[in-house]
Amino acid sequence: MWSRLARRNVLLDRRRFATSALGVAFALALVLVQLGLFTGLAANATQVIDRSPGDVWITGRNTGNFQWGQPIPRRSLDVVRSTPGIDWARELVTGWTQLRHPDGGVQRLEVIGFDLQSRVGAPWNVVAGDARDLAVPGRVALDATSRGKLGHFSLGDHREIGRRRVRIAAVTHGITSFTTIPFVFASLDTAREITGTIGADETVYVVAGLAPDASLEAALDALRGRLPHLDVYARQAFRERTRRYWMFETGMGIGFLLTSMLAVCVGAVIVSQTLYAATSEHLPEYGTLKAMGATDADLTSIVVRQALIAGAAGCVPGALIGAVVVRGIRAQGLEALLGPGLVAIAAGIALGACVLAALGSIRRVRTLEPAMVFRL
Amino acid sequence: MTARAPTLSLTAVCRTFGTGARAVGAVRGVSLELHAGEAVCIMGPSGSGKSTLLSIMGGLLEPDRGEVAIAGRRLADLSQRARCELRRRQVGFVFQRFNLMGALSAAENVELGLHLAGVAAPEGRRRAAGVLERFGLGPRGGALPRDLSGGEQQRVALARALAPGPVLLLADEPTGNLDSANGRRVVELIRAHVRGTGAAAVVVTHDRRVSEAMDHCLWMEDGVLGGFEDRPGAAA
Ligand SMILES: Nc1ncnc2c1ncn2[C@@H]1O[C@H](COP(=O)(O)OP(=O)(O)OP(=O)(O)O)[C@@H](O)[C@H]1O
Ligand SMILES: [Mg+2]
Repeated sequence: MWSRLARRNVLLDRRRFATSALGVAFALALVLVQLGLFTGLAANATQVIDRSPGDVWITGRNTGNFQWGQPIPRRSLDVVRSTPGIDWARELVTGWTQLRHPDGGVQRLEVIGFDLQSRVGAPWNVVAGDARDLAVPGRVALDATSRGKLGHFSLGDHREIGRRRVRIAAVTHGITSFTTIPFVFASLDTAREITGTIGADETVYVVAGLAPDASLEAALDALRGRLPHLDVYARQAFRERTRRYWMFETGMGIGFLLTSMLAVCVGAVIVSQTLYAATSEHLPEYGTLKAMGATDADLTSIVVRQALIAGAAGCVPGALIGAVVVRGIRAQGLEALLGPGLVAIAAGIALGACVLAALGSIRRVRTLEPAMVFRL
Repeated sequence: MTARAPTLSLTAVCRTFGTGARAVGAVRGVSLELHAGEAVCIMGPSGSGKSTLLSIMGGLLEPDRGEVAIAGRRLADLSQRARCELRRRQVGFVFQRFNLMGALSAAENVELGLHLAGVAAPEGRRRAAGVLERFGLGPRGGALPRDLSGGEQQRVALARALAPGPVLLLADEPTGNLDSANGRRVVELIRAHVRGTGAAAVVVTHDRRVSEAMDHCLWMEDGVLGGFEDRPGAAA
């Protein structure tokens, strides 16, 4: 009976509750876009780790995240290779450089130097040329999606990168960084040359694969014993470390969180106001219900149900709008991810906010004196 | 409890609103016993405390002093919850302004009363339809209150109050917003219910035709309840 009464009240007052639903839809859509960007960012920050094989990442002390890699002695590669439980190990050179436009302008680049014998740090989605050609010194792969920043280029073109004239031997598509700095892929040696900060006896990461049946924990312990001056991460741990850094240790996460909270607050205020107005208008009815013997719990359930109906009515368009916007962002080449789990969590938060928004109205009906019915 | 307990008993009930110089003694020492099958009306000037007294009778308002018992159960001894339960099953309320749920149809309003009294949905639907039929509202069951005339609305409200079979009916100016024909109909339905079920009824009214249809008439003035004939200004 209470759910029927709540439903009918909403239907009778549909214009007012439509405002509530609109508020919820707006808030949910905004939260979903924020969440989509946020998780997209997290996924983007670790894309090279995610695309590379290997179970263990060895980094310089306190590297903290993939983007801030620092040079480490190259002989650690041999140490890793000779560690029990390790099947293979490859090095990966990362760093920063710049491309000098023919007109003199410069563009910062993120360098990924990889071992051509492995897939560790190798470019994916090569749309023109062949990544194997990067074996020739002075050849690089650039990403077509970054043409806006790099200027128009074609396969076989020459550019000046890191004070060296290089030839574009492969073109990738869709490999972009949330830092907005374009990637340049190259062989280990070419990468050392164009970064200019990593010596021939240095590398940045050593990525290793476990022997079949080897224990990850045992291998990590053995590596830590042998490489006391370096950090040894399980792949998953390095991934988490990197994501946590960008999401929570920079201001980005707080920014997303504040925007989302603001959206939820605005939505909640709209729901709270409209619900309160609707409740105030129906006070005689609530008073009558009380006189008839309805308990405070009954009245609370009527009010909460109304808030939830309006909230649910807003969640559907909100989720759709959010999904469409996130899709639009992806179409722009930006990273944004939105899974059903995230939508469910965000919708749960939206509905929870609706219940909180109902508190004022709940208080109003609970403090209502039933004797008021005779004074109307 | 016992079969002989009066349906409603008030003993020296007082209720004051406000404090100090602004205190209003709305009900001042009212005692009353009402037995099954009795219908009384209360008349009196505006502000004399009639509505306050009805609230106290129905357990909506606690008296400052004195005792109220419905069907032998002292309200002061009951928990909040038990008082709600008592109202759901034993007390029916009717108001001057009908107070129907605007979003529910006539039949659903009656079902609401039955639902509160613990009647399950299918049975409630059947009984609601039956009562509306008897009240001459059979074809109007699906209509929303705003599509009903005042007389129809008050009969729906009466059906809502009476369908659960309360032992006590409390009505505040039930004909106050009705024309005389509709008013008469409502009074007849109240009388019929009292006769048919042995319920007791208290009807507050300004309407002489209503008072004439009741067993006794009481007069309230300045919070004091007395016999209608003893009212000040009555012909000696
Ligand atoms: N909740 C309240 N707070 C303060 N004063 C109240 C309250 N309820 C009633 N009163 C006062 O108590 C007195 C009796 O009021 P009540 O409504 O019972 O009169 P009434 O006989 O029903 O009047 P009417 O015929 O106009 O309906 C009035 O002076 C009224 O102002
Ligand atoms: Mg009154």
